[in-house]
Amino acid sequence: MVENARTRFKTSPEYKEIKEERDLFRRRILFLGVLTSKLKENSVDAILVGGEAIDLYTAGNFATSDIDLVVDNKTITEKLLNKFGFGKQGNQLWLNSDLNIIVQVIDKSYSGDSSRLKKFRVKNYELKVAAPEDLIQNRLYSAKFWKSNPQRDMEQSIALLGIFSDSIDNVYLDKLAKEHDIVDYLNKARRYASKSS
Amino acid sequence: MKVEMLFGGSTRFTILETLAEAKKSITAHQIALTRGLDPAATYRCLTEFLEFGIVKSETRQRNRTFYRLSSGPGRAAAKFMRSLKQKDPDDLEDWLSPKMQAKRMAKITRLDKSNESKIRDKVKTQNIDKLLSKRTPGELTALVISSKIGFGKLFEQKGNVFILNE
Repeated sequence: MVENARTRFKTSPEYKEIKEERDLFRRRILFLGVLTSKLKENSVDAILVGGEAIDLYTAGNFATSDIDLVVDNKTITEKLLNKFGFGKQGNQLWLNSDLNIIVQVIDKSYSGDSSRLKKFRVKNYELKVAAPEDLIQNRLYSAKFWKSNPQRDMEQSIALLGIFSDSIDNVYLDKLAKEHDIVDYLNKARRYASKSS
Repeated sequence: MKVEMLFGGSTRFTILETLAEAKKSITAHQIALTRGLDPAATYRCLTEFLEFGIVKSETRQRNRTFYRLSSGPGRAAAKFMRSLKQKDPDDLEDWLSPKMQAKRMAKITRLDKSNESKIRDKVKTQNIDKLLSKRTPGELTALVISSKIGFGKLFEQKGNVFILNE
């Protein structure tokens, strides 16, 4: 049954369109558009977070290896990914080697402010993406406390601050920084961003 | 009684268990991700373990910190943990008594207080300027500018919606 569904999807115009897209950055966005619209048809809400969201805002200049997707129904999402030809790799990672796309399914509630989510339209599909302010907070927190890759985290924060210097909600960002004890890191990132933009 | 409580909670226990099973050094992020732990709590516990010599850390490329159990106290803690897991729960019944709980809590509280300042000092010592000096001068600025131009070309903004240009 799953195999039939997978074969049907693989021969569908949507899959063909995704596969024919040679630019990996565009292919990933197109895939995300298709996936989230199919999820929506199944009443599943999906939000793009993490590295791929930053990759989107930086036009591919800070590329990431996987797509982090927060969903409110993991079971349906995983069934759909399976139908899309993805295989589970462990740690909630799903890989489609044919498309060269890795998805990480996150079934926790969205930690940012849902009212600030940005909408992206890709062809006829719509995609919800974490707001730059929430991504900056997440990256600065990671740089200060997780320290798994602080250079990358700082640079991505600086890039977002630079790109959205005209539209960023600094009051909200300052509030997040105080709540998460990252005021020092935010100040530093702002200084670098002002030099860069 | 759950054995995890002997370690002051399931996070400490899970981290020790993960490190004991790991064949090579791993990052806090990897531990949190693979075991579904809160990353900040994982980092805090690892910092505590570091202070007590239970784990060793090493910073590798791109300033990523990797952790492993130390050969002395670390391996002893893992051995202790394994032996407790094999014990009959009745053997641990004493630990449930209010007197013992109060004793443990006092120790944990002291431990948390003494480590809070150490953790914060460690956080302050991270040199952000040094971190950001690894690229050639102007490279980061060029990346930010290029990203801004690239994003503007790729997407047209209409109200609150960004539309991908064909």
